[in-house]
Amino acid sequence: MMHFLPLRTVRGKLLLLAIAVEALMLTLLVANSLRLLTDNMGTQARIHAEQIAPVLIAAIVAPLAQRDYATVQAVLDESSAVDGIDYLAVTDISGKRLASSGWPADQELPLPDKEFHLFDNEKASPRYDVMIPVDAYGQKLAILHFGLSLKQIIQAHGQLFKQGVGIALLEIILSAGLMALLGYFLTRHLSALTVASRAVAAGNLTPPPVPEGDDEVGHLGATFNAMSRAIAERIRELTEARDEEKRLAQAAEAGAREKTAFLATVSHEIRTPMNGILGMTDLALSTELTAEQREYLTWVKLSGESLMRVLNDILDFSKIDAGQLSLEKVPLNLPAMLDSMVGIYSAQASEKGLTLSWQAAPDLPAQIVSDPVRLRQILSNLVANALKFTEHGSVSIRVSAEPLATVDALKLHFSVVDTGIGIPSDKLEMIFAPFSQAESSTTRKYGGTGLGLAIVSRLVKLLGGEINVVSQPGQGSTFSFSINCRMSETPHARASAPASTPVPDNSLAGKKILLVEDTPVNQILGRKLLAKFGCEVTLAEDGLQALAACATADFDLALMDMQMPNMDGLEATRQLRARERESGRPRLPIIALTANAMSADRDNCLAAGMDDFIAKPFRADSMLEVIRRHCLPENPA
Amino acid sequence: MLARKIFGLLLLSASLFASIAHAQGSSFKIGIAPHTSARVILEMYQPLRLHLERTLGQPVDIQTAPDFTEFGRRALNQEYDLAITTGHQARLFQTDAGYLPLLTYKAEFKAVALVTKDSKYRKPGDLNGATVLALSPSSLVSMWGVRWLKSNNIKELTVRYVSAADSVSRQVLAGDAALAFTSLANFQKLPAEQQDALRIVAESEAMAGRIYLLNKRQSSQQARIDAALWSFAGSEEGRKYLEQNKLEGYRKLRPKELEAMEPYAAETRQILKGK
Repeated sequence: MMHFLPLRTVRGKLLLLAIAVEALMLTLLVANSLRLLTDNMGTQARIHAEQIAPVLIAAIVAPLAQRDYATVQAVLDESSAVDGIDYLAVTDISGKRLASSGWPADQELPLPDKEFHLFDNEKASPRYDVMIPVDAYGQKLAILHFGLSLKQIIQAHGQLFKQGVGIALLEIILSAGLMALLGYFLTRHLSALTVASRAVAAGNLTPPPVPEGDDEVGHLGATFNAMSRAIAERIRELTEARDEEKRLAQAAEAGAREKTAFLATVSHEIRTPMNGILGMTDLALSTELTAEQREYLTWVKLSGESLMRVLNDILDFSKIDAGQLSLEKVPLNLPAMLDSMVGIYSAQASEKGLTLSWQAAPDLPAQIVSDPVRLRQILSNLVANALKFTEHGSVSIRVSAEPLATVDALKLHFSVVDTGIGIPSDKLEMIFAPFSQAESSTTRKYGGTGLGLAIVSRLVKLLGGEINVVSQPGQGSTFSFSINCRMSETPHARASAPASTPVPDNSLAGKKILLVEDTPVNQILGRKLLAKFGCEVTLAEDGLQALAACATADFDLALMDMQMPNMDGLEATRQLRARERESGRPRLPIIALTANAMSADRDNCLAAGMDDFIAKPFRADSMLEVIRRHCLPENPA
Repeated sequence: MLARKIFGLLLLSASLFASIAHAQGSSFKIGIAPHTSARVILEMYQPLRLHLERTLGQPVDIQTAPDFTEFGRRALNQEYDLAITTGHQARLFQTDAGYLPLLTYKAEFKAVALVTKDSKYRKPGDLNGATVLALSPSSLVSMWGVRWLKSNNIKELTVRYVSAADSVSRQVLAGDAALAFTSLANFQKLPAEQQDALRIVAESEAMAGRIYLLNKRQSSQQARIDAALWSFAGSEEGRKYLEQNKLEGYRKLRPKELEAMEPYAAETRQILKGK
């Protein structure tokens, strides 16, 4: 709508400017013409008076010298007939009228005008009054009075004014039309450019080409068209690049999904036999063995656990690298977790004669909200590393808190300080890189995948912090990291209790457990462990058998494998829950038993209606703790 | 002796006071007989006017009349303080209006009859049927001319009177008339080529020329005015004036000089009465 407002367009502004200038100039022209006319007419009137006077004086000098006033009167009468003379009169020097023509005898003669005024409001009719003494050879004979009529001058003035104004108006109208026409021819290309630019602004990046030409506006149009083509080309390139990038991203995502699925499968396939190996080893170790047998089995167990740690490291790293590691935000008792940490590693420290401890600043809050599993994993890696590379002295964990701008936000600073072998300065930069250790000899001497610190570094970043290390070879190392967290509003039960050696008890004695497991070794392992707890175990080899068993008997708890032939654990759980809803039977606690280690698996289990989750390979104490939690809810462990 | 001087000063003061009082009243009017055109008269008498203004200490106006007859009527009507006219009118003014003759010019005044140089005129009889130019009937030149025509028994002619005395010779040269009467002084003032183109066929005897006459009401000022006129004649402007007009100077009137003009005066009186 803007171009419809004449004042907002260049054409309109130019038109108005031109009209204004022209109106001003024409006004000046007309005014100046009138002024010149007035001046000229005034001059002409004065000249006319100067021309008339000598003629009249010449005509009346002789009669005046002869005192022939009749002749003077005749001269005046004759002269007053001349057009432009209002009146003529001759008085003697005393003012006595000797003769007059065109002026009433009983009326005093008007006084002469001192200056010429075209418009004299005091006079009834426009007139220029003149009084000239009649001298002859120095003798004052009389005084000649006459009045020149200014009617013709005023009429000419009026006509000039009317004609001037008329011509000026016509000129302005014609000029306005001409300027409008010129403006149209000059700015039509600009208008086309404006329309095209508006189309570009509205999103049409390739509007129809605007007119081009050899003049400046035409060049502008050509430049605009070239720019439009360049933009279109660039947009096409960007679109293609974006599509390619999207395709690559989709391919990468698909690859990541395939990688994740592969890892899940590998993990499942490794954990399942490892579950059997470790479980059976535990069972074997709990039997009567010779010292040599016990030593061999202990080495089997340690080797299996080492293999599991390697496997867990690889899985964790892969999950972090694939961006599939999700964090929890749950209340956490910090001192309890640190106590647990020290408790877990105290035996290892004692074996090496090291002191393991933790210290906290006085203002450290007890309850925070964070991911306890990942925080524990970070600290475990650092403490395990410190213990691994320290032969003498101590390992200590130090914690302090720094309030942030938000009311309940905190930054927790952790340091794990050891007096170990230290790290050369030229190796510090690469220590958090994956698959690297400070020295190649380190792997040979201390073992490890070299993924631990890389995983720690990434977990710290995921928790909103950063990690660094200060070390002196031979004097020890300090690993410091910080994480962002929130203060917990409500106290929480200790989330992490120190690991305890499973102690056989009979609190679960008589509990009817449905074990749904398709792998024979795990069937045996499960039955053996549960039997140790005094449970009565019913075995089902797939989901269908589980459903059938539940239909005929009541159980206190079900341990449900996820991947089984015929019907997997998820589907079996969903159908069991459906039956419970239909029949109104009490809810059967169902604990997933799965070698699928991904967090999504846990979510799938809970979504299907399961109550908890035990990952393979599981420890006997972990299994006991979960079973007790769900079978004895009034007396949780 | 002292008392006489004081009395003289008082008289002088009174005379000056009267003069000033008169000056404040009106101008001193000099009437010049229209012996030539009014413009020429105004020009010719300006030196005298200016001299009298300075000497008398009052405005002086030069006036004339459309013709001799009207001039005579006005003079008889006491309209002039000082009248300058020909002898016959001077005599009339003296006798009929009480004017006081003062002086006249030394140069003689004569009237002449002019024809063109190549005119067929040989004797007065040749003028029968012709047109003759003269000034107004009451002018001395015209009267002399009419007498000269009568004395030559020329009766069948047309006498045309013109007011422009300095134009008569031109009209004769232009063929408008066969003969013209004018004064010898006017003839002598004509340009040389005009004079050469004309021929004087008759010349009057010397007559009383222009006479200066003082109005009787100015008689108390006669001595001052008389002295002023004589001082004009002695001044540079006066000498130039008299020389340019070939008037030779002022002179007192001779005894009986005006009385000799009585016949012309009587004729003039008759003309004036007839108007």
